[in-house]
Amino acid sequence: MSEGKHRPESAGKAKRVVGTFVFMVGAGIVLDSSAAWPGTVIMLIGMVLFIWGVAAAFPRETVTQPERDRHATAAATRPTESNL
Amino acid sequence: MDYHTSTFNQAFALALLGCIIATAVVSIGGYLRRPHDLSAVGGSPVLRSGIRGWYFENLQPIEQLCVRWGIRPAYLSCAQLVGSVLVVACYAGGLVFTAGWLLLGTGTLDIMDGRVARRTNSGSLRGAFLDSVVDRFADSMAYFGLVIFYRNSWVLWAVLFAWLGALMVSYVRARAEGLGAQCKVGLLQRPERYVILGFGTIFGALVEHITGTWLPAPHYWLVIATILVLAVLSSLTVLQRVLHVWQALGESPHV
Repeated sequence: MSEGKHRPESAGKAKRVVGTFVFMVGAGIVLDSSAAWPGTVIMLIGMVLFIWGVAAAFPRETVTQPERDRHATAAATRPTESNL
Repeated sequence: MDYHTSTFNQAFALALLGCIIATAVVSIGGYLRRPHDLSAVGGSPVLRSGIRGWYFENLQPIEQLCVRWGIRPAYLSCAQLVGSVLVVACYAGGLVFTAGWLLLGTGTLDIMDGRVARRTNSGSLRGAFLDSVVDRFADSMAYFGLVIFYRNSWVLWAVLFAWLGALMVSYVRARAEGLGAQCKVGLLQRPERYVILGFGTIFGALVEHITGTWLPAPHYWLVIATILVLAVLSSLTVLQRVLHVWQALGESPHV
């Protein structure tokens, strides 16, 4: 993992697990019955939950301490109206 | 059993099968490649410690959510009760694939209520009693659903035999513990039964849709094979437990 990126180990895992389960329940309704619409809606809900969970686990840009120091130095040396 | 296998159903079932296998390989493979301390997880010949560890790791975030939202273990037991009724409805309605997933879901709730109780330190005798009663009910409901599903076939007798075995496995342990003997041995305990019947049902439904109905009735031959395996192994487990308790009690005086 590159510096400056943070990936929580279990972030969004609950959503991914529940999403997979809901998707499969919906898929079963589509597969085994003629009620395609309710099954499709349940599948979509599961898919949204799963994607939400994946998005939560995606590497996020975070500000690290050296970067924070660099920003602070830049802000302190930036010319302002008072010191011009 | 009135269902038809169309080309769409065949393709959809094939896609689902691929999806399940790919997810299992990536998820379980990824877990097993990382080092883990599995000494506290335990294991059995059917459900190895690696698989149990992977399962508990996936369950952990949901348990944390339950604790954060203040969901009490009794609520999870009630959800298990509702889930088991849905399992019967699905089997009765021919929704075999959905029934398999709901069965795994109720089995998960069965495990989660105890784990949430331990996490929140809210275990009680009343909770343990409710859990046991709901477990028996949920266990029976799965077989009741199969009885309805196979009511017009010889498979009904195999289901009844497997049902009897499941009840006896639990009864022997309860009776042994009532007499002061420990009885946690056995090839097929409840989690193993849930996993075998759940996945047997799921893959049975998929294989049925993929291969079509060229085999004579009764259909869902993989589900039938699973029921037969459960019937035989449950009976063996009962025998195993009876022998274990017989030896453990020894020549204890009559109480």
